[in-house]
Amino acid sequence: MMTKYTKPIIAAVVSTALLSITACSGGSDTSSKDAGALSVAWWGSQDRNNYTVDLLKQFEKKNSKIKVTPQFTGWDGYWAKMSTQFAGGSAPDVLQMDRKYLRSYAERGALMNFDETNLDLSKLDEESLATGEVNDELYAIPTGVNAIAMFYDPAILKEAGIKFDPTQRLTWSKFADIAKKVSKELPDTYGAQNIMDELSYLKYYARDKGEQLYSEDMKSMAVSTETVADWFRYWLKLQEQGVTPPAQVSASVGHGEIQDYPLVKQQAAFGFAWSSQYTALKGLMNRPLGMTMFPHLDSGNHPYFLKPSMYWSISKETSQKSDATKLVDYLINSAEASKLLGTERGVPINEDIRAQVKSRATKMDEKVIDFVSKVSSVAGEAPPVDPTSTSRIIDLFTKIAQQVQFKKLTPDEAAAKFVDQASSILSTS
Amino acid sequence: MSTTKSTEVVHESEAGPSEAGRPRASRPARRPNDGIRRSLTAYGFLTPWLIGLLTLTLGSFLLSVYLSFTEYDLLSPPEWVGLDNYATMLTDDLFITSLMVTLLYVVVAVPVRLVVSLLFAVLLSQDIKGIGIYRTLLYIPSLIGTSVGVAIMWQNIFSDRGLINMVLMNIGVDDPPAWVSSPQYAIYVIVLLSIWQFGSEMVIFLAGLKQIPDPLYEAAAIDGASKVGQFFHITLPMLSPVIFFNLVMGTINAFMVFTQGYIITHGGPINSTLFYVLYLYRQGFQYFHMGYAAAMAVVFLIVVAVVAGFIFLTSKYWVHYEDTEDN
Repeated sequence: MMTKYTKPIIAAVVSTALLSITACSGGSDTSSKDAGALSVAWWGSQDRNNYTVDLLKQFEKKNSKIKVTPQFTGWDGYWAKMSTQFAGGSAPDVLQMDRKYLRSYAERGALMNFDETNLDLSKLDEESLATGEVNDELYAIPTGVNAIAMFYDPAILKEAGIKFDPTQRLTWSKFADIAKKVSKELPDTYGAQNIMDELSYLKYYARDKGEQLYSEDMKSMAVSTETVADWFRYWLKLQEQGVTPPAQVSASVGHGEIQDYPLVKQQAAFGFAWSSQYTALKGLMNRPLGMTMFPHLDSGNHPYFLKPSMYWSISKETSQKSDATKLVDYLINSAEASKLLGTERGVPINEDIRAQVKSRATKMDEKVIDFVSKVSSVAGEAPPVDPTSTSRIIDLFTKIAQQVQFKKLTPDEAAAKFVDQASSILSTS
Repeated sequence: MSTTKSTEVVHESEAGPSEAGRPRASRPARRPNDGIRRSLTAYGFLTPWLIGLLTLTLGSFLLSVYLSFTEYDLLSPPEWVGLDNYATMLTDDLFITSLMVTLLYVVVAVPVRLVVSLLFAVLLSQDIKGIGIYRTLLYIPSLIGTSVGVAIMWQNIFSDRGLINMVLMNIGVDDPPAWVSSPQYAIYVIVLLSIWQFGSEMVIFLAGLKQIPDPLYEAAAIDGASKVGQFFHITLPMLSPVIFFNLVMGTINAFMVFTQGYIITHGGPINSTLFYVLYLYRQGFQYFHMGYAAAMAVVFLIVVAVVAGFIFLTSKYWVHYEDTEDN
């Protein structure tokens, strides 16, 4: 009897052992949280990862009892990872949050209400802080703010014989004239990038018309079909006149993928992005780059708004509330931390810190800080945090705007379709 | 060939215990426990895989079947909604779109890839000096092909001012389309990427080609059959089990296309590359509709099973097994 089953058992043992060897070589994962360590998650570029790790080490040195485990990935993987970690009960204690997801997480009870912590909010700009509120409760602290900006290539404008004064705000029609002139004067150059399919910019445009994008209860679209159609028509006309690139080129520019911008490739005079992307754009272009405010309708409304670049949140289930709070406090309110942070996560909303950052800022950082300060002086009330189904609405808007660009839908049809379908997404979620 | 052999082994071990009960005169008497021991040994070696199957695959599978009947946003506990998710699918335009896009991809990519890989296998089965180098070079794309890096490279090659268009413009094509970002062509750029990775099928075909006995060709040559005739009357029928294998595996793999659509085209433009799995991923992880995503996965399993089953059904009309004739 002893020998009869020896072979099967050996087989099982050996093959299991072999398997575990290969499993070992599969690389060590950061999944397990060691007891007592505070886990911090963020997304970002390599550059951000490097200085944030240094920042956390600095924090550990000051608070010798706290150990911090960093977890970082790129933007796309980050949200898949966060949702699985929250679902599996192993959420990080402190996490970087985005306005696209803030409402989803907050309304589902995944985040700590900052009223339950003793975080010092006294120095933070109230208007900016309000962007972290969901249903009047504070769930996220903005790491900094930025604003939409129009970027231009001074060399191209000069070549086209255009005298451009960046201190004067353009109306949309004046902007179209200038862009048209560029494409007329310079054969291989477009006036501007086509931003028809970017929902944030439509939000700005709607505010200029005195409308909001979403209704107050987030159950339907508040923007009028007419406004959306106007927006589509404006950009379609420029596309048809050859002022912006043709549809198939515009479609290849992914959202926020600034390396693909016609402006960066020296193929257009104007591009549109967030003010925080100034440094990155400049790095890619390696030639003079101007930044100014978006064109407007001169309606007397205040379309401009400050956008939190991203936030810090604490997960509801954290077992280390006080340590987590201490860390967020360090990231927001500490002068020492701001030396490493600069404006990489947006212009700080702590007024003392902002002044300090500006005093030692590089020329580039200074420009960004000045821009944001200028925007604050003309900005209207901050829009509420986006609805939970924002991602779906953005995907829908991109698709419908592309159908306009490719002439599968007229601006009027497309606008009606977007408002209708977006409202139905909002009402069912 | 190898597939038929392995089924034989399974047959023997399955039939073992019952056969042991009524020994046949023609065979030497077996000890009663032989069969059990043999299958235990087999299961012994299978243990790690079985553990993996039971804990990782089967568990997740059953859980997602359960989740498909719930509304689950990942952050709060799932709520039972019965067949709601399945009903929603019937009216979801994007669901239909993604299914159609995926079917188009499968119908185009799989047959073309089979033909190309067979063609190269036949070319590379010749006895030429240094043929090993060519085999290796042609196999490499299938190893690196699904990586993110290659996807990004592909995106650049076929972009508006990418390599392909540079060449086209230099030879006088005036206004070539931006392949990856035009709704008509984007999916074919991805199809092309898939075809380029024909290496693994090619290797399996090569092995199959080596198994075809030479006397068949010699006899045909003596009877005056041309090379083309030999290919259609000897090579293809003899290779049909391997073609069958590659067709089934290729179809299943093609259905699961994801990375390319995710990275190269982001599902666009105008959802022309919104593959099923990509849409499922968006529903689950970006829109927080994990219940709906799970229901989509269940439907997907059924669709793929039906298609694979259909191929199996047709196989008796065109797949030729040598040993079935011996019996």
